[in-house]
Amino acid sequence: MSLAARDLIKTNNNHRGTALVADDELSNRIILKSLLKKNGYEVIQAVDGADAVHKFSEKPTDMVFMDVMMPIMDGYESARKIKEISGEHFIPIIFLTAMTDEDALAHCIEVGGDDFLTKPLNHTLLRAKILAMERIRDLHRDLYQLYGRMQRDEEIAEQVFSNAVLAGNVAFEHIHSLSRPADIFSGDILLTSFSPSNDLNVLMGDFTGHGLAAALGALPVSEVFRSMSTKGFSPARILSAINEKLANMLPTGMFLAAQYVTISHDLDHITICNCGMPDLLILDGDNNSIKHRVISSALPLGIDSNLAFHDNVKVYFIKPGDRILLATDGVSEARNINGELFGQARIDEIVKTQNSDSFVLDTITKQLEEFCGNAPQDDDITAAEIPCISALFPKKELTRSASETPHTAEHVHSSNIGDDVDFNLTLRHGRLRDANPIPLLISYIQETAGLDEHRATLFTLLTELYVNALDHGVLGLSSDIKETSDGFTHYLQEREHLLSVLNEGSITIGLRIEPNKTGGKIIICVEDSGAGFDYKKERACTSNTALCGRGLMLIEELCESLEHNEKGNKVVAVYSWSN
Amino acid sequence: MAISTQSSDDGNTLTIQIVGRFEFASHGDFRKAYKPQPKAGINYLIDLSETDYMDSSALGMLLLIKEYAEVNKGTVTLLSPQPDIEAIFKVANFHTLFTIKN
Repeated sequence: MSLAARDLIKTNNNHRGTALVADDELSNRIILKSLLKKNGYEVIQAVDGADAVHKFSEKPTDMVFMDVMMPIMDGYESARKIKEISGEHFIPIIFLTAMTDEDALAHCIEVGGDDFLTKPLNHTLLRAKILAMERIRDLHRDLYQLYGRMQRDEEIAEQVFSNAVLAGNVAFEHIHSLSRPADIFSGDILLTSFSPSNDLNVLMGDFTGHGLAAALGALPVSEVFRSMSTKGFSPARILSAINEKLANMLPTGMFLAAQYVTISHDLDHITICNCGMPDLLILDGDNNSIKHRVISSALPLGIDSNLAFHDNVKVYFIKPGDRILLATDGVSEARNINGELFGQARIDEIVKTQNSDSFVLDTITKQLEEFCGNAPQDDDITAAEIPCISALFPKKELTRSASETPHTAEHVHSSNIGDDVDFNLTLRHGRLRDANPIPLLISYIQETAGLDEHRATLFTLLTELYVNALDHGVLGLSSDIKETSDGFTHYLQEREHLLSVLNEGSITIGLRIEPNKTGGKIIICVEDSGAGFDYKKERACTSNTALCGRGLMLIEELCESLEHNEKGNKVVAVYSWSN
Repeated sequence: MAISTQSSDDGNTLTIQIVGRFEFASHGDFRKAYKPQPKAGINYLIDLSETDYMDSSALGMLLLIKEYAEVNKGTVTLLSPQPDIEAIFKVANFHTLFTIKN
């Protein structure tokens, strides 16, 4: 009913509702009935308390007038029962009493009565009480409706939240997590996703405040995180994109503190960025000692849209069995009944004394519960412990190209069949310094041809080919440097230096996608501006490690054919698939 | 939680002191303390010497007053935070955004 309609009914004195009058004396009922009729109420009469309960349960009225002393069942008992029947609906009960005993009057209110009138009845007072009761009833009804709407909204929002934000998570069967929202909604988020090369990306975030408003930001964050992660963007790029999106979207004063972790699929290293969160701990799998403590080094996300995260992303070497402990400040800042904080020191102590074959988080959860007891929870509490084990990652072998007749470099440019798609991308000069075209190419292939199950292989192929063109072609680095043990570090330093002063050169990547009835092929052509190299010698290299041979063996293994031009600055790889 | 303000004689400096907890519930009072101001170029001093707790909403409120001050050609300085609060600023890297004086 609209407010206007309700007002109309209110001002209409003929139909304001129905009142139940319970009094064992006929004369009293008649007087009250005539007064109520003048005020627009239909009247139902009851001769005692039991009769009143009976009549009310048959047909609930809008208001009840109740005598106290009645045979069979008195007014107190009757009022209690009527309140019980009306449940969540507010039905005002006004006691009619000749008593002046204050205790008895107070008892009227205790049993559920809302007000009382003393006999003999005064018409002006009765009218005032009716108006007051109607006002309270309307407020109650509005509140009840609002509450119902809020609950519905929250249920819908919770579904959207779990479908959009949580359902996309991966590897959760191995990650121990603790989530205790301060509200129905948590302003904390824990997102996981695999990159095309099957590295595991994890983002734990804490929005300012808690409840629905805080949870709203989780939608765009999870969207950006997932789409960029599955396309293979680096942690710094993903963080920049989330940061920019939030800075543009969130009102000033609202932001997201975050811990970002990428665990390499070979369990060799992890990449971490801590943006305004408590310490992130890397635990040694052998003895649970704290191997690394990663403190916050960047502003939370959503404050300054121009931040770059390159300098804040750090790499740590790990070994299988090590563990990563992530937590929002809800854990360290949880309070007990005396207002004391749980504190980072307590967390460190638990880690130190923990047996290394059980989860630290289980002990933290238990101690946190004991510590906080019944103290009110100020903030959302979220934590996760990730064991660095191979079971985290999908057991997918890289797909191999289906075999077909090999193509030559010339063939690529002369073939001209039906529904082919060509895509060319050239990066020049400074663009080579900071661009990573692989995610773009992968997403292009996926939009054009689908090929979900081939994504990891295509990602590896494209990455290897591009890195070769950049490192050995444009930058002219020799892969020989990598062969000694600290040569790899030296190689990376040299590469970084050359990139920072790079101001010439180009790489062109061409993609041709040729679908046919039984599958299709992708022809990848990468050409760089470099001087070329002796590919015959390189391809003869027998050692198939990442440190040697430009990864050519890996590439050959994955694709159907691999051709270099004579100069060695252009390579064509063909990858076939069958449906 | 109690928020009090004191304006300097020339009206160019407004000191806002927060005693006790600075958190979500302080939002309304804190906003009333700095807005609206009669003139531009006011330097806001946020006195945190008596503040013993701060949550992330409070950090958000500091960003709000910073934005308000900058739009009105003023400045914001955070004064004398206690060690616990200073640690929170450090974690959030707020020293890159605010002048913090002891």
